Amino acid sequence: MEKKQKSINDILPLDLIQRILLRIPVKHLGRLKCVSKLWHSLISDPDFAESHLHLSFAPTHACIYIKNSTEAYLVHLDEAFNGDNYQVKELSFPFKKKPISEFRVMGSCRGFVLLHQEPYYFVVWNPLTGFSNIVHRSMGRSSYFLDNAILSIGRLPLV
Amino acid sequence: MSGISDTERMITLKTVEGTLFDVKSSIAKDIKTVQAFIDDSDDDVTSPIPLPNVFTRELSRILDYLNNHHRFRSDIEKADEEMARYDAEFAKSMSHEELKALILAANYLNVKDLLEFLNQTVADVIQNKSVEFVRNFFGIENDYTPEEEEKLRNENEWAFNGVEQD
Repeated sequence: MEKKQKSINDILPLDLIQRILLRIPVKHLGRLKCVSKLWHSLISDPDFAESHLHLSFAPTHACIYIKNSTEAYLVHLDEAFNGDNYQVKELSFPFKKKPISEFRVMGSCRGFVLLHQEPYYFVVWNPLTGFSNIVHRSMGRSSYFLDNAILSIGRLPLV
Repeated sequence: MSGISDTERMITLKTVEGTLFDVKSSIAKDIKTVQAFIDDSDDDVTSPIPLPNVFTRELSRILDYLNNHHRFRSDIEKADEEMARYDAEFAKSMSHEELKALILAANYLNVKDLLEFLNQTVADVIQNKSVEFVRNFFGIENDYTPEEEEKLRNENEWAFNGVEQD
């Protein structure tokens, strides 16, 4: 079978593709992971995420509004400030079922939101991508601080 | 000895097709690959500098871009506005194939500002487009099995809203 030969000039070098991807807003990157396995690994690379956040060629400024612990909405601030044609997107919370008791938003950091549900249940949630991870109170050594402490979310610099 | 000469030194560049372009040395400074060649030469460069990877169409566009940007910068008051207008026209005037060819040339010649601008132009072109459009644009073959792709699309369903028609 004859395979169409691609000229080398049709293909941009990897470092250029990476530099282009750094300029794509986060909300589109999930789709671009589906382009190829190579693109998937480029976009999933933690260093890429770090550069994407810091270079802010394509920053995302979004605001979440949570109503009665049951509904949440997301607005992209750039769209909201730049015209009337902006969308309010309804988000689904990272709970499989409706939460039994109320949960609270404990803080946010770099696009992640920390939700807390009494008594032992913590969820780290990225409202933009829907990614979530459950952190139980029994996990980690700092758990006994929680009783009287104000808990928030932060990030330790990696050395 | 005078520090400033009335006639700026010219450098001659030669494309793949053999076309010669005379370039002011102040412009050549922005073409880092050419500047490195000049810096590495012991004597004054008088013969044309061959650019074995750059075609006439691309070099002509790059010089046009640099000449205009130099001109805008000399008039501080209007610079930003005119430059933005020129850049927008410049990006619009190219087909996707021409845009890719120009990125490769700007990358090879290491013209930093232009390369940054072109990267942004490509990002703007592809960001709202479908996965198929992007594969086609970059000449990428899909190496997922249909099952893998389906799974990945479901996981990233949030990123498939508001995709433009190709």
